[in-house]
Amino acid sequence: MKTPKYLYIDDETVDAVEAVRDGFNDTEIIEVIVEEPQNFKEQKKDFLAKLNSYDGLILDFRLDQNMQLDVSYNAPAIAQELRTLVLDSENDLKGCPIILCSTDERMRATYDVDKTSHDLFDYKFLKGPEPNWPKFATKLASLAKGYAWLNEVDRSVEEIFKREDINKIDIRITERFTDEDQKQQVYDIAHFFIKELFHHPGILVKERVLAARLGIDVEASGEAWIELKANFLINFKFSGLFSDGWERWWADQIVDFFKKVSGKRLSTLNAINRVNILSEALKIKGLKAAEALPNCESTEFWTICEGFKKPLDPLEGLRVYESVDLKPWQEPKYISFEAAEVERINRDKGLRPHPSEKDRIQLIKESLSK
Amino acid sequence: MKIEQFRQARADDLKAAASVLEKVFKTGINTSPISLAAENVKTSCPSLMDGSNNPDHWGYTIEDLKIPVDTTKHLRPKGIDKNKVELTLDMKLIANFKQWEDLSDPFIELSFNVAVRGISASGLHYFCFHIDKHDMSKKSEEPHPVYHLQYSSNPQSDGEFDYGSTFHLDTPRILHHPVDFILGIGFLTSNFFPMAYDEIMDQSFFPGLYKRYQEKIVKPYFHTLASNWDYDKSKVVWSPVSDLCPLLL
Repeated sequence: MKTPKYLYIDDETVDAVEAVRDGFNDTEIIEVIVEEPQNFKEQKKDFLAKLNSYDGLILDFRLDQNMQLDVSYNAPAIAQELRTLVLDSENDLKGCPIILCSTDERMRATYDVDKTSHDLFDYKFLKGPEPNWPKFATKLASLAKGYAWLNEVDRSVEEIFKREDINKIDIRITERFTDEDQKQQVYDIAHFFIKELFHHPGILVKERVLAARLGIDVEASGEAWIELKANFLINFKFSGLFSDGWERWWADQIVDFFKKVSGKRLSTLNAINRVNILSEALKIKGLKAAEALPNCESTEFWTICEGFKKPLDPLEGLRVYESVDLKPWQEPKYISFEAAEVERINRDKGLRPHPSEKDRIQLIKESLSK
Repeated sequence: MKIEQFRQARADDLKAAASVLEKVFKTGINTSPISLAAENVKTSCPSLMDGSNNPDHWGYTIEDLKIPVDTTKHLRPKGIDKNKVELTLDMKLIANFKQWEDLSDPFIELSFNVAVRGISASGLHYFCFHIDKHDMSKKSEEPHPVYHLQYSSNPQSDGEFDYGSTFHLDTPRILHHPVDFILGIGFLTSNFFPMAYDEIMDQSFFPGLYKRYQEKIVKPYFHTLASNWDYDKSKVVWSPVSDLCPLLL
């Protein structure tokens, strides 16, 4: 695919809209073309006529703020309509990624509260003071390419996950892709990957969690960590759908790899032992073991503190509040007491312990005040 | 019954057990290791330790299954935070399906390893035990009950392990009946999460499943032991049996 082309619908002033357009276009990763919203009927007609010539759509959350325009709907309404239009084969409209953007305050006031509309969008980004355009553009390009690849022909589960030994994955994850009677829509596949697989630790983990499981302090290890990734861990990097936008690692293969090089089980060793074994077996110098966070004792790390983004033993973590219930094959996210209750990192952005942790937090506070 | 049907039935039982655990522990448990074992039992013929295969063999491996712990009494050392205790199960069993219906030894190989971890201000503490089938081809100085429970505190047999002020030597191999995963759920929750055990046994179909596995695994064991003496059921006066073994259904 050439540079993916996104249609961007926004009702804001020319300056504000151009800032977004230029932010994206300057990256040369995606190309963005701006249009003003039209009334619902016309907008629908317009999408049917031309959306197939685009690779994706960006919608501003509020489309009804410009009094010069005859628009009385917002992004979720037209996104819902669009998803329905794609399902009707008579329309001959390909599924494409739908991206939501807004300012922080608007998104928080309405979108974050109305959870029913969350499933409509593949990705959301904030038009904050200094948006990370290259990061957003990479995600959007990956989504566009992934959608196009899925639209081409029916893809097998092995192709989608880019893994031959698919039976090593919990069948409750893969069976939706093999059920002939209930074929997945392209959008369903995309949604499942991004919301269920990429955003929760489980069969796939982020780099920080990968490092935590190996007991490694990423910053202190510097080049040695890069060497370990490039020469050894690269074999266990997820290379399936959307992997050019979301970097993830196969959790089971990392465990197997460690067992193969050491004969030992990763989860039962502390960070120093894990790092010593890796350094010796792989002949890498400079790997540094991560230390326990403040008010924590264990270095048998398996996850990260979502506040500090540093290794944490789940036993010493507090479960993070998440707005959706976890699936039985997903792992919870954790935050350390220090990050949640002392430094209150990102509390204003909704990062907080699960309400069920209230009693534990109280007990920790009492033990610390003694 | 054909082996395929048999394998499917064992897989269904494991899945049923996983869904009971999900219902009782909610999001406190990731049941993927059980789900993988269910696929495993259905599709693969396990190799024995000596590398041999037999199409009549079935089995599964469950690795790193973490189960919450709620036994807050008698935690030692005293500084252990009762909220920071976690149990990990690693198990493997291999059996011959032709020996499932009679009073044969139900398993060819069994290892059922449990590690409980706790954290205090001075660091990590471990409590481990296993229920194993002893490899009778291996010589040993002590008499080995073929199925035994043995306790240890050093999960990795680490030479540098800090034993604190406890004294450790090979603890007795205590006679124990074999356990598979289904029976293991009862054993582990009744000891480490009694409220969950009660709730699991209140789930409509689980006690029936549990009872069937006791018949296939526990019954051959105790019948064989009892056969050491002349046995006449009408002369048995010690009752109720549930006092001797509360988990027997």
